[in-house]
Amino acid sequence: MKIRFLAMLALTACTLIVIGSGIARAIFIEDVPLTSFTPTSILAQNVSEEAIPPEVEEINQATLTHLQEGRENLSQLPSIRRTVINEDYALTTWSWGEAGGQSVLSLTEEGWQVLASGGGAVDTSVMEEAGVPTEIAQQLIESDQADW
Amino acid sequence: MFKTTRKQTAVRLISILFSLVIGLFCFLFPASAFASIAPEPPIPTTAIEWDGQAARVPDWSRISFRTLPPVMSDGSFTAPSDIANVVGYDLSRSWKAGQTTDTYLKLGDFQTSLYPQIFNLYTIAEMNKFDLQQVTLGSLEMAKWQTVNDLVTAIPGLSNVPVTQVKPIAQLLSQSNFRAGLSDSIGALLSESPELGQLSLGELGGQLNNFSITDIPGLDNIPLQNLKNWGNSSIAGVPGLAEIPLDKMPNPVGAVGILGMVDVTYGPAEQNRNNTISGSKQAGFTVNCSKDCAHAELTASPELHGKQWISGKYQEVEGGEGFLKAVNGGKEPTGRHPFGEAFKVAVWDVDESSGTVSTALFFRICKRGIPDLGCTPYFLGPIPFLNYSEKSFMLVGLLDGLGGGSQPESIPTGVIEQASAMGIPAGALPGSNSFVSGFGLCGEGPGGVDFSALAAAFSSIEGNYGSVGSYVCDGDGNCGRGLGRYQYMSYRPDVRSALSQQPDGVAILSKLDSGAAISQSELERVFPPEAQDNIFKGDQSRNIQQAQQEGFSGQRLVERVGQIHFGGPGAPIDGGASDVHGRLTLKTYGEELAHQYSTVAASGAGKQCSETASGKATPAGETNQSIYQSMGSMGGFDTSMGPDGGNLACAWAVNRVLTNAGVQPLGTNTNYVPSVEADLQNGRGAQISQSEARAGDIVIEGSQTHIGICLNEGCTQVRSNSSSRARFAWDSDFNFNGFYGGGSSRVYRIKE
Repeated sequence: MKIRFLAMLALTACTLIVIGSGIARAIFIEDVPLTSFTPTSILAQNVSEEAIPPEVEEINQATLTHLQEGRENLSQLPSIRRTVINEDYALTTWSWGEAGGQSVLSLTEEGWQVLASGGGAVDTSVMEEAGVPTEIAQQLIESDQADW
Repeated sequence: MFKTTRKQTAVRLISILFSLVIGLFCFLFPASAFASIAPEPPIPTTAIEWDGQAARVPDWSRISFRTLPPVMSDGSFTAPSDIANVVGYDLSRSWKAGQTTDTYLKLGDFQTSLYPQIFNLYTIAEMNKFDLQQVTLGSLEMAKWQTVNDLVTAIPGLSNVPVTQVKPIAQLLSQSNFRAGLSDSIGALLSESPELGQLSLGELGGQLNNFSITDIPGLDNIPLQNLKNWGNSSIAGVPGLAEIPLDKMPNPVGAVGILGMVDVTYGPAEQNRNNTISGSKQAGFTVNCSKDCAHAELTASPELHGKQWISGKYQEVEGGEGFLKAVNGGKEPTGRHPFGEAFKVAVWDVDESSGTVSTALFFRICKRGIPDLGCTPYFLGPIPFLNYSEKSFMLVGLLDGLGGGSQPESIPTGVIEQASAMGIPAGALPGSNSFVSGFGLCGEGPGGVDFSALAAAFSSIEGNYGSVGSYVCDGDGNCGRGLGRYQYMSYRPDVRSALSQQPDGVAILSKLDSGAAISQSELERVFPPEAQDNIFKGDQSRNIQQAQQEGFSGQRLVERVGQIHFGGPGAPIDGGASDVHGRLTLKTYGEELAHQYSTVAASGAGKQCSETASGKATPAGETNQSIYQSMGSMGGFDTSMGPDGGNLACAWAVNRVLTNAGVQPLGTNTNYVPSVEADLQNGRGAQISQSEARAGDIVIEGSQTHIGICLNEGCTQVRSNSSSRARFAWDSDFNFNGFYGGGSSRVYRIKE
């Protein structure tokens, strides 16, 4: 009797496993997270998979607004590659078509404002000239270059 | 009895509950618990021995575009309409799951990887052992967008053929109610009625299938790239090309590099994997993974032990180059290039329970040549490829920092040799160094050869810009006339292309093909001195490089350059062969050239950078010339050693060119455009207008986002750093192709 019950138990378990895995597989196939790679699906998704902190979002937006200010008919749009923050100062690194550059920002009462911006890489002297305290400038540069 | 029944019921309940729990587990954690790998598609492989054990790699001699497995997902790409206007055709396309690669990939996508464009139809037919007489013209997709003028330009000698012997064209004319003069040659007809040259074979519609490829004499013998907009043809649109094994392509797909053993497979629950060998050309091939890090962990050789090849199904990385980089959000699945740049290999599904990984291929869309729009990220896929179980070997390619492909930036030597055999000058191949403009003939080529003196020396033997040579035929049956100062033959594809771009160019080509004489003024109109000089500089740069590789230097270098010019790249050193005139042999031609070169160089005429025949002098100073020559010698150099791996290297790269030219770098911060411009404004330079600009002047984008160096008079061409390629290789217009809003750039001349 015991053997019969155990056999029944095993049979039922197996049946449910098969049904369960069938359902699971169907869902697995449909629920392909990044997998289809159709252009539309990729274009629709945010480049960054992690949530961007609001402060970084604000800094990035201030940089992009500054870069595009007064420009029309852009065939390429800039994008932010990196952002580092130290107290009330920030350094953003952007790409734009075949160019890349950096912007230095500070937090004011009106929000984040661009102090200096241009193609290529800033250094501490550029940041100091823009009004960034030397120590903070050095720390921003170090943090940024850690990702080079 | 009662007790037993209760016990039985309890056991039943427990068993049902247990089953439900298992079923629920299956339902909630499908991927981790029961992710299964699809069966491997039928891909021919070959067995090899690696590390004393059996391994298998794809057998590319039995894999073609047609036999690659079908794509698994639908997709599409819509190119902006203004791009179609610039390129001449629409780069857009769409594909459906189940389509084979040959139906949606185009020749242009592989023009700098596999180089299918240097095939001709005859070679393809020979390789597939079919008769082109049995192949309809309609099956050649690019036939439908060729006009009569395009065909005459593409096929040397076609203009000599009577219209009646070219049935599709005869039908086209007949259909257009043009019946007079059909017994005349096509060239004669076009001379009388140039408008007929605009008729397109596409106007024949379905009737194209009534003709065979061989009904257009010579069509089977020209490289595909002679035909207009060849890059827009699908692979399937060239009869037989889809069946050519990929290891028989002009730049073949191979399997070179090391194999790694799949040690352990890990599912997407893994996080923070930082010892990877996967990524992209743009992001590097050691891209870390923070979450969803499904991967295959490898072992075998010490350099691979513990390395992780992350699944591209879960991790995307930066990809793409140039204008097309923005497609697909600039992203592509992480992976490697063990088989070269034609496609990317990604680890795809990973099944921990069975210890198996699948791989998938991804392709990309490219538009190289002129205009060079770069390439999209590798996003056309996934094409299911080989599966690997734990303890089996998978090819990772060379550990070269390039993902295993080790694709050189320049054109592979084998491709140049095949192109040469097809009569295609290396300069006519996409990806060739286009550094041929600038100071007219000013400047030095490789080996310090003075172009101007070399040109003058050739001119003393060959003639002047208006010289038209005798009508001659070479051993391959190509007939035509030597044209201009360097006597370039009228059947050369680059010469034909240059002529066909001028008004009346096709008509004059027809005359040349027919053997008829053309006047000096006709030649100078359709083959202006600038065009002759541009071909000359590109051509001689390659000749000099070949001579250097053969070990020549000094006077002997010039002698050998002359021999290569006279007899082609395969000319035997100091050979005794002569041309039809019999006046000079290879050896004596070289000696004569070297003598003339020495005379001109000694007189200093070369250093004066003689005016081109257009009469425009180049008054910029020595510094400009040094900068320009520095650019020429450095070529499209690698800037990945610059700031941020080349992403922030525009000012850095310009300063490298200056330093190489012996000019002090600009800027207190030499890596930052505003700092460089400040230096120019504070005494190091003088701002000039674009019309005054010359090669070697410095161009700064209106809002200081980018910086480059003028390549020519009037600065209509600017060379600058390409962040996406990390190379000083982006040739744009004065305003950087309007990328930054079309605002006006500023140009400066460095003070000497």
